[in-house]
Amino acid sequence: MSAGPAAVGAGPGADGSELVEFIGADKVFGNGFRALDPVDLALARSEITVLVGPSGCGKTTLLRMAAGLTAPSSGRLVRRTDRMSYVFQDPTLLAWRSVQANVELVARLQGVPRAVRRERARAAIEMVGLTGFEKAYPRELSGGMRMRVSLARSVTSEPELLLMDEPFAALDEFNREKMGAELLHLWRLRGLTVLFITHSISEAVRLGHQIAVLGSHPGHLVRVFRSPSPPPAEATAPRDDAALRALRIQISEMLGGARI
Amino acid sequence: MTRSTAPGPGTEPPAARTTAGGSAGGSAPLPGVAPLPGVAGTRAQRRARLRWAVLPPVGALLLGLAGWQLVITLFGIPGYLLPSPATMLRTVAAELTTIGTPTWVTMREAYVGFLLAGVGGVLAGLVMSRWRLLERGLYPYLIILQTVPIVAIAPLFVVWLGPGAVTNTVVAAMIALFPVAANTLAGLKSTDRNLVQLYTMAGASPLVRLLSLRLPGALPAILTGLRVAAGAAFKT
Repeated sequence: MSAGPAAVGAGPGADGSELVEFIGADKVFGNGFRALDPVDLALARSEITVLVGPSGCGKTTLLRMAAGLTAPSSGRLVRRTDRMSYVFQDPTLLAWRSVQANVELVARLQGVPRAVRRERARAAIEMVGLTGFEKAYPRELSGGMRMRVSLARSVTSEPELLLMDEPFAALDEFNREKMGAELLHLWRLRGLTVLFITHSISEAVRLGHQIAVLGSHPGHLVRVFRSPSPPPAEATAPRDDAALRALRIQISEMLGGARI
Repeated sequence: MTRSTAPGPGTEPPAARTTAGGSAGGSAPLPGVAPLPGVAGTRAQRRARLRWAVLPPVGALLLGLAGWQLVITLFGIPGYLLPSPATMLRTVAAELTTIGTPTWVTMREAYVGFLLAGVGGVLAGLVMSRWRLLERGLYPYLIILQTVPIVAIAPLFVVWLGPGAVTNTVVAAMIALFPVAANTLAGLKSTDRNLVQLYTMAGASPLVRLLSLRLPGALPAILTGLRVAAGAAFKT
């Protein structure tokens, strides 16, 4: 099943030009450990690509490659933007700074003028529904709220590319779904290109336009799916739940199979 | 005599700290909304904070004195074995200059020594965290310095610097240096790796990383070091 006509699943603004491409990119560490077999994967602009797979399948290595934090051992990585943000599994906030200061942090480090970053932070805080909490400190917030701060921070540098390393994995199921909706909300407003790591298959299917399934020992790309019913540009547009469920089951069986 | 004052300055800062934390948690019924720690707040809030800082230690002191007196009365302990609090206070009042002057001298030496150790220790921690080679080279000797008995090296300093305030201050600083240096180093090294990555990706220079991220993050550890050092400086 190769998800019918490929372009059907494209998100808003997708024009076929890829923002990031892995071309036969693999990773062998200095001690000879092979973390990742060669991967070919392209991220279309304004689409959410989800990497899903068991731990040790090289998901984070791929993400770090996309961020330029590590280079492929062979093959190539093409990234057609420098404007990117990284979101970690933990909120990764400065405990001694207020929500406002934390949201502004990356923009401040990049030298964005105060007035501009103030306004961006205000918009971002509003977008994640934390208006009124600007002066609070991280320890006064719940886990989900801290993650929202982290999300707000990631967009104040106005990135084109959002790299997310299991950002909601530490949250409970309820908050996790809410944060997923939050991410889609952001994506709709900003048309971001997102590379999203998760080991939750249902999260992958809910969020992804494109879902890359990875296996481990060593990490390798098993298969790339186009979503049969990708996140729509209109929040209210209906989605084909049956098709998503079928995809989830299919991926589930792949990951549960003997090969992986 | 000076020894018995050591717990005083040593334990006071933690008490003050619990205050800040306590009032933040205690007087904030709506977590995350209005009342924030560190901000001055209204006069009533300030007064409440002050009460919280002063009353518990004063209460503990009074309870201690009462217990002391109670033990003496209850078991009929004679004054030459354990004088009563009242006798002690009377004696201190009568001999105020005899006790006060040397205490003042000791305090001055200890405080200056503590100050020197604080500055030197933080600098040593900074330098060792910046250059791995220096950490590997110097840290073992810092530990060894810690194990050398004061009585073994104090005479040397007396020979070098002559008996008196300078020698005492230097010895106090030497003893107090290690806890500050060790805690500063540990604090600086414990910076969250993801935060470092975030700063690096945003193009922050090492100096910005140090001032905006690593040093503030290390502050609790540095303060712990200073607390230990304060006690140590008085023990000389």
